[in-house]
Amino acid sequence: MMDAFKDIGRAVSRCNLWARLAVTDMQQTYKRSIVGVAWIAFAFALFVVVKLLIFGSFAPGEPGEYAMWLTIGLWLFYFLQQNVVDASNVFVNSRIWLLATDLPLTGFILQSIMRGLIKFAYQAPVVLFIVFYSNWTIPVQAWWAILTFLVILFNTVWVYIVLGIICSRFRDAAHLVQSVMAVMFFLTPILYFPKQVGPRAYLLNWNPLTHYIAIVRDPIIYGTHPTHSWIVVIAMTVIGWIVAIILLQLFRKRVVFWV
Amino acid sequence: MDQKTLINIDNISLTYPKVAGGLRGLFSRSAPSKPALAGINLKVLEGESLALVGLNGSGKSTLLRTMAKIFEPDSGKVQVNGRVAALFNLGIGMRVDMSGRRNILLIGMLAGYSRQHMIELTPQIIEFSELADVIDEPMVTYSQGMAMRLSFATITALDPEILLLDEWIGAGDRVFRLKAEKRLKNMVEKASGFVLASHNTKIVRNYCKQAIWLNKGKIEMQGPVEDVIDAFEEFTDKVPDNK
Repeated sequence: MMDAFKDIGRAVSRCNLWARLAVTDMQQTYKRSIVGVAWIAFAFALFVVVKLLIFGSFAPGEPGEYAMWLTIGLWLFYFLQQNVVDASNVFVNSRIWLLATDLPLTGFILQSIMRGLIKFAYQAPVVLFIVFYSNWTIPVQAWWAILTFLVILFNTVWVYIVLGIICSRFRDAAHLVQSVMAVMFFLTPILYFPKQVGPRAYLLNWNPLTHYIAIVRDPIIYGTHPTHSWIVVIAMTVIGWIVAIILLQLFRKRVVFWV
Repeated sequence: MDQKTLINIDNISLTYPKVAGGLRGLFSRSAPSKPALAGINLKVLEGESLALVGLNGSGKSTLLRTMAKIFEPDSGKVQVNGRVAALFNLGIGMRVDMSGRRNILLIGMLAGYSRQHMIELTPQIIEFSELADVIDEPMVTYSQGMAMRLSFATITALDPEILLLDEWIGAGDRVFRLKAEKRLKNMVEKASGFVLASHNTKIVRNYCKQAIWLNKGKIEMQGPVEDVIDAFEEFTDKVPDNK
């Protein structure tokens, strides 16, 4: 198991390199655009506003609660969705790098996560704006969300390792992941509250994203910790990391031949 | 003679896995792939310059990538003692929309050096690459030769103990080739070593002392550069007639 940990350790010890690469990726994406990275916030704001206008009209309860529920849910969902989809391509997209350097695999993962975090940060002002205007009283326990978000980040790494390796060997897996993630949006309580779904609400529990979003969103809105979701998240963290370490150990040096 | 061994390759073999492609790969059983490298033994001592020659697909790049620890061989051992720098395909790790200057920093950081260290090295790199006029222009505006000059200047400024070069030097103009030759000879004098894979036998004779001729993943001949290249050239002159 040593080599898998070595790969992760080598990557983590050079965090600023991945951050810099992520920044240059973003600059590359928005080069020669006048608005630049502000497009990220703008696109997100547009989504949130349109969804609030349409779906807010038949949401139960206080409009403030729904605005919070939808905005924070969407914010987290996009971050998770982006990471899962990027995970399925992470090594394939880094092909020329893998063939030219002996950089650790985990490095490309950290680079991709940092790209996601940059986007996430640019969307934050929109969330703050909605929070401010929703008139919802934020409980003091909301600061817990910062810690639980770190749990999410810790989980994204194993998702990248597992999906990155499997999808570079079996290309159909990448397409499967992308199709499934597109559907996941409707299986995640973002546009609606679980109680509105009625007897079929149990379906939502089978979606891991439901639980990852719940552990961050619930403390912010209600100041509570969803026990059931925590059990699922902890179980997934443990199992996911074990699988990731095994895959990384076994196939770390095969990936370069598959991409 | 207590020269340090920079690279020690002990009986390595490597076969690229056949990755199934789509439905066809599922249903038709294809022949197992031929080994890309088979039973390779070699040593690079400090102060040595080794050339890899061979036809396309003979395993030169695969062998270089194995030395760079990018590929792990199926069997055998690869031992590398010293800081390695490698120049494979042009433009690796480059952000073509960024200036040459920022790419210098990036190449250095990828090789494991701090940004500050690279900023200190930058004037010297710009001088050697002779790109002072265009260094703040985006790299898309550079010709292939200019991009190569920048990579070579940067990577050699890092003072590696082992330099791996894959078919790159032909892109430079004559003036730069002479400069590069001098810098490589300098490296060898400082007890570093380099391995150069090239199709240009003239460059190989100028730059290297030792040579290995690879044929279908096996070492066909190994020894002083003149002998190996003579034999290789004789062989390649005959190939078209045999067809």
